[in-house]
Amino acid sequence: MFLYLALYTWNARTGYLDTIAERTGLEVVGHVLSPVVWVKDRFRDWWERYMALVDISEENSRLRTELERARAEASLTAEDKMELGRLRELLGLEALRQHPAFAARIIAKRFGPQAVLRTFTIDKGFLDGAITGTPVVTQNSVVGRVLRASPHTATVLMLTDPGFRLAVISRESRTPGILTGSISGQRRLEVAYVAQNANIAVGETLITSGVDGSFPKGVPVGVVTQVTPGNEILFLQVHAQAIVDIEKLEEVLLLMDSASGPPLLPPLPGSQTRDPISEAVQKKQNDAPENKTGNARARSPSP
Amino acid sequence: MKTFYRIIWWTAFIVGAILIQQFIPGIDALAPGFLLSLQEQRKKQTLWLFFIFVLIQDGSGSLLFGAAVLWYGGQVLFFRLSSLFFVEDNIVFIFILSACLGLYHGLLTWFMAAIQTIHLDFVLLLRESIIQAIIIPIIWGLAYFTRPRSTLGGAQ
Repeated sequence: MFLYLALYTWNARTGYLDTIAERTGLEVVGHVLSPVVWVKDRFRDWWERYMALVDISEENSRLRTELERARAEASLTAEDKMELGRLRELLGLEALRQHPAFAARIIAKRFGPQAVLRTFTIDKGFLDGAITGTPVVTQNSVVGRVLRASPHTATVLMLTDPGFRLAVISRESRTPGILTGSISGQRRLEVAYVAQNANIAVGETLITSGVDGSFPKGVPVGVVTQVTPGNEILFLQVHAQAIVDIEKLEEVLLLMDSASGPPLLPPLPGSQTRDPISEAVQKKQNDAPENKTGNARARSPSP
Repeated sequence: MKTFYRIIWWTAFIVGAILIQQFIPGIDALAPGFLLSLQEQRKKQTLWLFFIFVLIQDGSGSLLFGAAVLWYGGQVLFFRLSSLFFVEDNIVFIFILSACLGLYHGLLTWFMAAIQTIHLDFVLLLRESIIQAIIIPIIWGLAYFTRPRSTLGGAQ
């Protein structure tokens, strides 16, 4: 027992044993689960494509995309678009879009008996760029950050874990606070240290403030659901709901440090701005077999 | 040759257990294999499995290194204590041991989370402890009956 306590204390200070366990155990888990998830994905794709009314599904998907695009275009007038551009610049969303990013597949959630925190495992490790602390997002929201990483696998701490901390600011009233997860509810969040006289209101979107230096400024995180005055504390009690339902996610994007990522060339006049997130998503979609099949179909002559 | 078959079988068991853990979050599917090894009384094999299982569970978990050491170490202790009162190669023995380990899982997780100041969802922990207690005899049964007879017997 003395030896155990000595080892535990030594490891708590140095982290050597944690590193060994991560780089062996987590890596083994990743190598076992990644092929299984790959096979499962391929089988599901095949099933959806060939067994579940292929053409109708394809057409529905295409029509939905067109409808969404048409709706978006209809709702955004030229002035709105200009305003959106200005707001994005102000809120730093462009910074997110210009951050180098790469996609990762979720291969397990809360794996094993020691998974006390709300975590999930992804098929990318520190050799791919998923180092500890790497921000994990979707296209429209924060998801979490990398907690542990082995060469090809990593564990991500979810935004909804009570131990997660993130500096946020409300989009309209610009009220700052520290966002944490909550034990009660899968998507429930809490915002601490909000001043009693703050004008934060229900329905406001919380975005990253960027002061922690890891997440770019302006990435949406959650929506305020409840604001109550604190009775015995100097701060408001603010509850929010995460924008994304992490339990249903299958893929995520990891943001690389813009300083260590590939250098971004200044956009040429008339050229489109580089959008690594869209590129990563597009690459993932292109890699998917249905798109390959779809492209093959598109190229093949119609009967 | 027996050693080779044993390695193949244990590799298959570990892969299967990892897959089970993917589908059932928060449980240990490797534990029944460890109990099986204890029943076979192969010390060298059990020691190897101990290291491998500890690395897998502590490496993929979110607690500091050491929880899996206590988890599998506790299994050895419970096994030794239970074997004083019951016949080891018996399904009733496994049922009683599973119930103890389900309880131990909950207490150990609570303890390790407390010393690392981690907030716990106690309802979830209770549910997982129950599932852990239920799943041990099932996996143990599958492992016991699929284990080649040629690799059984003979303590090292």
